[in-house]
Amino acid sequence: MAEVVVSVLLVLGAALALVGSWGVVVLPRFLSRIHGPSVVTTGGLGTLLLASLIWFWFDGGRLTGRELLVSFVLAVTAPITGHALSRAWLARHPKDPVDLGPGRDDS
Amino acid sequence: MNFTWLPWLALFGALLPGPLRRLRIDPALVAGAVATLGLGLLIRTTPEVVVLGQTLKSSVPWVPSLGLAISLRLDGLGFLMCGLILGIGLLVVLYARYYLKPEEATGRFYGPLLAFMGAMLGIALSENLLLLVVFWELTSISSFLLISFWQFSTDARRGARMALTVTGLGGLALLAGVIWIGQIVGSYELTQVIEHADVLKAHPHYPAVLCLVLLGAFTKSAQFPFHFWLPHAMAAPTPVSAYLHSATMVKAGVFLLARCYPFLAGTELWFYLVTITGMLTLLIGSFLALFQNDLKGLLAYSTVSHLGLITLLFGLDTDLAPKAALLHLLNHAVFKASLFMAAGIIDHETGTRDLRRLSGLFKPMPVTATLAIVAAASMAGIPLLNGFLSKEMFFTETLDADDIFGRSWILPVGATLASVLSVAYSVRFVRQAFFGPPATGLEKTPHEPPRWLRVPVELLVLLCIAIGVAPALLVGDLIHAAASACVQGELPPYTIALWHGFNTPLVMSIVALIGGILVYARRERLFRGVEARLSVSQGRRAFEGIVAALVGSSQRLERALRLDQVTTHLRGLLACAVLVSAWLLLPALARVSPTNTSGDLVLWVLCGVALFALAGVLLKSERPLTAIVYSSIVGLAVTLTFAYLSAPDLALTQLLVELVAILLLLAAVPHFGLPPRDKRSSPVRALDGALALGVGGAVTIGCWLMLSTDVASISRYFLEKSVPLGQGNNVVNVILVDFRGFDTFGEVTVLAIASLGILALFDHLAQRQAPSDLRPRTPLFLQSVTKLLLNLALLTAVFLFLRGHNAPGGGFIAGLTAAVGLVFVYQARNPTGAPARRPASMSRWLAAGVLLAALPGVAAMLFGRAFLTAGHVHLPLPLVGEVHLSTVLVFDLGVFVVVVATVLAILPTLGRLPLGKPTAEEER
Amino acid sequence: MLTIAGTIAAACLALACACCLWRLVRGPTSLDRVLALDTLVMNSAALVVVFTIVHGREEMFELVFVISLLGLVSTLSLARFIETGRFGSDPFEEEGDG
Repeated sequence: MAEVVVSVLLVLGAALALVGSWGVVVLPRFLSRIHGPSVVTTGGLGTLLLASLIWFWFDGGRLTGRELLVSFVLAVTAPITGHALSRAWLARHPKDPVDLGPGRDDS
Repeated sequence: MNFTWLPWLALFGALLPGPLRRLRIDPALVAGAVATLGLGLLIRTTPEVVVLGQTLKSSVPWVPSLGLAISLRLDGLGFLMCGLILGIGLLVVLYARYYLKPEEATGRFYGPLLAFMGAMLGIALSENLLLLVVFWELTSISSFLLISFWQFSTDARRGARMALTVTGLGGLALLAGVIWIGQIVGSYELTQVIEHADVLKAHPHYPAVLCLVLLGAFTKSAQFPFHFWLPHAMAAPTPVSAYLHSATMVKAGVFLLARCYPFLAGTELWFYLVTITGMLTLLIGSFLALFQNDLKGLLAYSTVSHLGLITLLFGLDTDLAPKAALLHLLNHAVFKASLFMAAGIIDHETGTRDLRRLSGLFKPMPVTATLAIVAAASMAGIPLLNGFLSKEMFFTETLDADDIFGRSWILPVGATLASVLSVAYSVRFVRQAFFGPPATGLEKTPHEPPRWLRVPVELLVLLCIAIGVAPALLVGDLIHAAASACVQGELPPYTIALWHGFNTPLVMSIVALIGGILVYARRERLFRGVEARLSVSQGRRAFEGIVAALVGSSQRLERALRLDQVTTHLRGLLACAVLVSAWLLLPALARVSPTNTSGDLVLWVLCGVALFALAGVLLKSERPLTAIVYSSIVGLAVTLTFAYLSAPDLALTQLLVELVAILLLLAAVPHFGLPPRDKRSSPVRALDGALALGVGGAVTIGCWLMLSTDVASISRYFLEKSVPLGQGNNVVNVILVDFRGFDTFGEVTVLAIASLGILALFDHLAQRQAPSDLRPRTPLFLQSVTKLLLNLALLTAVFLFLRGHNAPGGGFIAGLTAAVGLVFVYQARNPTGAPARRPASMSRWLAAGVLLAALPGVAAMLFGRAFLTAGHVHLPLPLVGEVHLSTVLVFDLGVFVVVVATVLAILPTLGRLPLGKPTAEEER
Repeated sequence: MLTIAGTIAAACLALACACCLWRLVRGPTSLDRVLALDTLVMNSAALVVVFTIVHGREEMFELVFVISLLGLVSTLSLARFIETGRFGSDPFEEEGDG
């Protein structure tokens, strides 16, 4: 049973990471590209960590806090990365419009 | 304690003055104590050495394979030298105590002074010729430090450099000569060499050996044409001049002649080389002394001439010449040291040493003047003083010696002429300094010096008179023992006495006296125009010309070979590497059979990614930021490879090193500016390409050979022994801190030294504080998160450190983790990388880390075990698990501290360097 | 079953890494490359997690932890470096906007 759940979570997490990275490729503007990794890939990594937690809990019979700790660290650091990157972008390209109207992003 | 302690007493004493001064204890105390103790030790040997004429010996092997042993001997000759070194050393220490101002860096004075004393004692006592050379070089170095004591003075620095260059080169020649002697004789022990003197003198290489040894002796004792360094060394404080340049160091050269006398002298070549050099030095020195306006300059040239006299005596082939030489060696040391001290007193109390400004000092300082006059009279060779005795013997020997160039009159006439000049400059010294109208325009009003500044002079002058009146009683035995040791045989009976009847030497003395006074009286007419031409010493001009020519030609060579460019050096290095590996690897290649190279898909992919990123680094090398990103991907791929191959320690290390490398490159990149445009011609490009391919090929072949050759691996041993011997499950860590602990200790030390070097190089360039406009405020989001991240990083570091012995981690990894966290805080607070506080205190942490790493090793030694033997305790701790507490942990803590301190020393220092403006070439 | 899932996950992550590398080559600005690097680091951490589960190698978990904690440092340093650029006009900034 645990194996099934873990397998599903594994594939799901990896797929999420792939989606996030795909965003890095296809999204047209830098400020939108940032969102791929900082939201989706982080989520994928979190899913994988959940898989790890479950697997070692049921299979190894031990519940440790390390996955939770890593998830916590990720939750804290991911927004910081995104924030720092966009700050840098805006410092270099002050004219780039931040407040976009709907649909502009897809143009 | 016996005589063998003498050199070591002084050499180890040399370590004390610096620390003592910090404790506000007068370092002169140590110097005085060492000299007194040494004198005591020496005097205790008087019955054996001086009265019975025995030779005391002792030997301890040092580097037996090279024939180098710490073997010492004390014979009459060594006794005489040691007596001078210690006796005058003691007086000089007393003198310097009152001469130097208390606020001067006296620790930096007495330290080298004691080192010098030890080295001189070593020369005097060496039985092993190689040991003698070691001490010889030590005198050159310590005298360099002493001459340049007043570092702020250009003259002092230049004079010290000149003295070091000349005597150092002479020392090299001496080393060559000594090694040659050892090759011919088969031993470096003096006793053996003396026994085989005939073999040596008959050997076809004897002339070359002789020239090399004499070169050493002549440079040290300032013989013509190497005499020029001595007057320039007068920029030293007067106690140094009195000690080094009258009594001891210059006498080392003469002492060497005496030491080599039994096995090198007695040939035609020796006679001509030594006698003529001595005669030339004697005449030139006394002639130049006549024109010196600086008191110390006059005394320096006079020293040159007297050293020439002693050298000349050693060159003569008469039986008693060495005895006369040694007597004069003693006498000259006594009167010249007192004269230097008197000159120092005059300088001290009037503020000048210029004979043109000094005048009529007899009235304000009658006692000092009387002392100086007596000493100068001894220098001139007036009867009833010691200088007269040796001068009489000198005249006698020149009359008895063989004809030189077939003429019998050359030596006596030359000797008389030199004595005339010597009387003339002595008279000039006395007349111009002490008589005439009172001096005007001096910085200080002349008066008698403090009591204790004069005591050494008084003692020395007393000795001048005492030896002059009763020579046989006071120094007869000593000189006899010394001369016997010098010639290593029986001496004809001769008593040093005041009166030998009315004979030719007496006539020569009288001629010299009268002539000298006449020359002084008529000097203006005699030497019109000479003085102006002598204003700059020819020797110094030649020396500086040679140095400038050497520097110039080196610079031309550097430009011609483009040595100022890194690429040139890289090409040379890499070409050598390719050649060496071709030589080593190609033969081995034949023995290798092709092996299974299929491998794992994952590894191929990782390898491909690494290669791809590497290509990116190379192609984008002109865009530093992009190149940095690519290079970190190389590191990431390698990290994943290690992880895939189940090497968590390596993976962690690789990851952390990669991170530190990024930070380091970011700090360094702004200083490089943009890389210059590639201006290589196409042949050069082709050559570079070939070189690159060669290096790459060599590395590839090397790796392939290593992986495909079946070698008995040592890893099994470590895997098996890790737990039983090292008490740790993490084999990597056990190897690092236990099995190969000594290697790690060495590496950590090297790391600390390298960081200290970087700190020393850059610290003075770094800005004390970044200008405020360069320091933007830390953004809020960073402020809020840095502390959290830092704490997490430090916690992780502690965790990795504690469990390192049994699971992935350890001091190095933990150190890097903590350092990355700390540097991140630096950068987050201030992106220009300029912290407000100086990172110089890191040097203390570096030292502390190395000491900490050494601590368990030394502790093990205290328990009688080998260095770095580990001791163990196991402790169960909550949360962390069982913790293995052992002395190894302390060692690992040392590693941790050094790693953290290194990163924190280098990165912020780089960040604080001011940015140069990009040059026109860079700004394209 | 776990092995199959692990293989699929690893393949997905490898593909994700390839996406990042594409962005890395493409640019066009340095910030795009930094973003690509950051994403790549996260995907690598994910790969290690998958590896840990499938092969049961728990000792690799320190690596995941350190990557997640400190991977941030390189991204932040690079971003801050570009933001505050120590040269007056940043010569590292490349042609054109994204």
